[in-house]
This record gives sequence, C-alpha cells and structure tokens, in this order.
Amino acid sequence: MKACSPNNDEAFAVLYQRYERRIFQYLMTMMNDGALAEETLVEVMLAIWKGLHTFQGQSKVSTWILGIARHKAVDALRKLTSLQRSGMPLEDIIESAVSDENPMEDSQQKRLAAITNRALTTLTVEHREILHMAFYEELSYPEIAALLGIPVNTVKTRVYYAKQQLKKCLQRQGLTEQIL
Amino acid sequence: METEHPAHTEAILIPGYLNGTLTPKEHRQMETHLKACQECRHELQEVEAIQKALKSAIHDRPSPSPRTFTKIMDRIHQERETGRTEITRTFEASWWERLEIGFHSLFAIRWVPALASVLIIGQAVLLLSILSSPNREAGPDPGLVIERGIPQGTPIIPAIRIQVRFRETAQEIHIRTLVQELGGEFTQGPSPDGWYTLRVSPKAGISPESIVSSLQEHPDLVNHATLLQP
Repeated sequence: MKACSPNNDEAFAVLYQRYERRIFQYLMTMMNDGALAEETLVEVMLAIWKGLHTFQGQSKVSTWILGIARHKAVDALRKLTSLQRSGMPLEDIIESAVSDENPMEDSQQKRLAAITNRALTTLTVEHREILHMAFYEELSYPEIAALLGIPVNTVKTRVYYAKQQLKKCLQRQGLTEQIL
Repeated sequence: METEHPAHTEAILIPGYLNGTLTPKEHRQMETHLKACQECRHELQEVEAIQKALKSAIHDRPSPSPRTFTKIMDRIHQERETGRTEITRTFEASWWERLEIGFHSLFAIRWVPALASVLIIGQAVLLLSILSSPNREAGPDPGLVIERGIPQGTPIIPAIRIQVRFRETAQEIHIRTLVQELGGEFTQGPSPDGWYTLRVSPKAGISPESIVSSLQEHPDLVNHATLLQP
C-alpha cells in the first residue's frame, strides 16, 4: 500500500491482484449479478486509485477497500430495481458452474456450495451482507458496525438472525444433515 | 421474520468467538458460559458448520473476467489524460485566456483595496457627471431593470455547496427529483465514504440553512446534510 501512488501502475496492479477476488465476491454477495458486479468492480478500483492519497492508515487497508466497495455497491443497486437487472443471476452462474464440472471430481462439495449459494440469494441484502462480513471476511463486530454505520449491538443480533435465516433455507433444501 | 430469539445472550457472540474478534472480557464470558451451557455448545457447532459451508460456497464462485483489469487501466489512463489536458490548458493558455487570467488576478486579496478605491472614485465621477448633465431625466428607467428580472436592491446570492449522504434504501429517481426541486446539481460524489456534494443557487429570500432543512425534511431519502463553508 505504501508503494501505491496514482502514478505507480505496477504497485496498483499488485493491489488489484491482492483484492480483486475479495471485492468481487463481496459485490456478488450484494448484487447477485456477475455483469453488474464486474462493472462495479471497475468503479471500486477507480475510486481506490483516486483515493490512494486519502488513505490515512487509521483502519486496515482491507476495511478501507471494503468500505469503498460497499458505497459503490449501494450506489449501483440504487440505480436498479430487481426487474431492471439484465445480467445473469448468481444462482444461474452457480448452476452453470456446477453443470460444467467433472462429475467425478469434488461433485458433492460443489453441489453443497451451489446449494448454499442459492440459499444465500434468498436472504435479504442486509442479511447476505452481514453474513459475508462476519463469516467470510471474519471482521469484528466494531469493524462491521463502522462499515454499516449501525450500533455494535445491532450487528451482533443481525448476524445471529441472518444465520438463523440461512439455516432455515438450508433446511428447506434438505442440506442440514450434510452440513450440520 | 426475525422471531427466533437466542436462548442466551451469549449465543449472539458465538460468531465473534469463533473468529477470535471478541474483546478479552467477552471472550472470558463466552468460555465460562460454554463450559456450563450445552445449548450454546450446540449453537457453536452449528455456527461453525454454517460458516464453513458459506466460505466454501463463496470460494467456489467464479472470479472476475481477466478483461476487468484492462478496463480499469483504460479508465485510469482516460482520467490521467483529462487531468493533463486541464493542466496544459492552464499553462498553454491563449492570449485571450491569459488576458482573462490577468483580469481575474486583479481580484486577488492584495489588489482589493486598490481596486475598491478605483471603483469608488469612478462612481463618484460618474455620479457628478450625471448630476451636472442637463438631460438627466433621460437616464435609464429603473423599471426596465425590473422588467429584465433583476429588481433593484436584490442582493446577488452566491451558490452554496451542501454535503449530503443519502439513505441506502433511497432510489436514484427520488433523489434526482428532490435535487431538481431544490434547483441543485451534483458536483462531486460519491466519495469513498458515500458523500455527495450538491451545488445550489438559492432563490431570493431563501436562506442556505432553509435549503439544508428542506433536504433534512426527507429522512426517507437523506441521512445527513451539512452546509459547506464557501
């Protein structure tokens, strides 16, 4: 991050390689739309490039980047209603990924991942987002609270209820025996 | 939908306990509670399993297309070009632009007293010449000025800038309608932390504070609105 400046393309490329997947997966969790997530990833990286000189080091780089990604995601979602989205929904992408796979190779794990991803898409965006932050990014409650602009206690209860909702969805898919 | 309350308050701390992100006090509280509570030990196993499934699911998703980085670098080069053009325009200005820059520099603070003196003397000379003129009744009719839409004595109110943060649930169309109603336009944003800058030219008799209040009267759309110093 120290080497990163708006004129150092090589350092920026390293920063991109390090964070592209994390940002993209977060955007996919938020948007359920691969094409929109890619478009937003471009905007996020451009905002990071423009804001490199404003990074004060008061938070972790990953939290700063996630904050930018969040605002860009909210901004992109604001422009769309679910009906206007023309990209391929996340569950279709997962479906196609599963159908392309070699059935002999990790098929059970892939199937579980596909069903979990599908279950995730049935949750509200608030629940998807907080599960992503708490369970995937493993952020602390205060870090999530700062990112979402909500009290720490709200974060704790929202994570709990989001997990309960995901569990119910997995139960409906008949997956709880394999997972739990 | 959020009806299933946790059996114990400690249950809501389990994800943080698993991630190792609790405060030392919360961590100790959890350790003590888990030893005594079978229900929460079961909850711990459940959270661990769901977290594992979720991580595996997210990890299994496709990556962004390799073209994405090229698109980003294209946009960055465009931004650099735009910035360079502006700099070039400043330093390689035409004679007319240099004249304009020179004129604007007259308004620099160090020249203000001198400029004000010249204007006062000029106005005094003009007034004396009008008063001493035999045809002074034929001077400009103040009514004409009013007809042109600028009533005499109306102070010219400079445009103001307001920093606004909108609700995440606010739809773009509603935001744009509100901003149009106020006669404003977006000049910047969103910043990395979600702020937009609005430029509004207040109508006569409307204070900048009342424009900020108008924004705040829409809590369903506006989260924060602050008047920026000119």
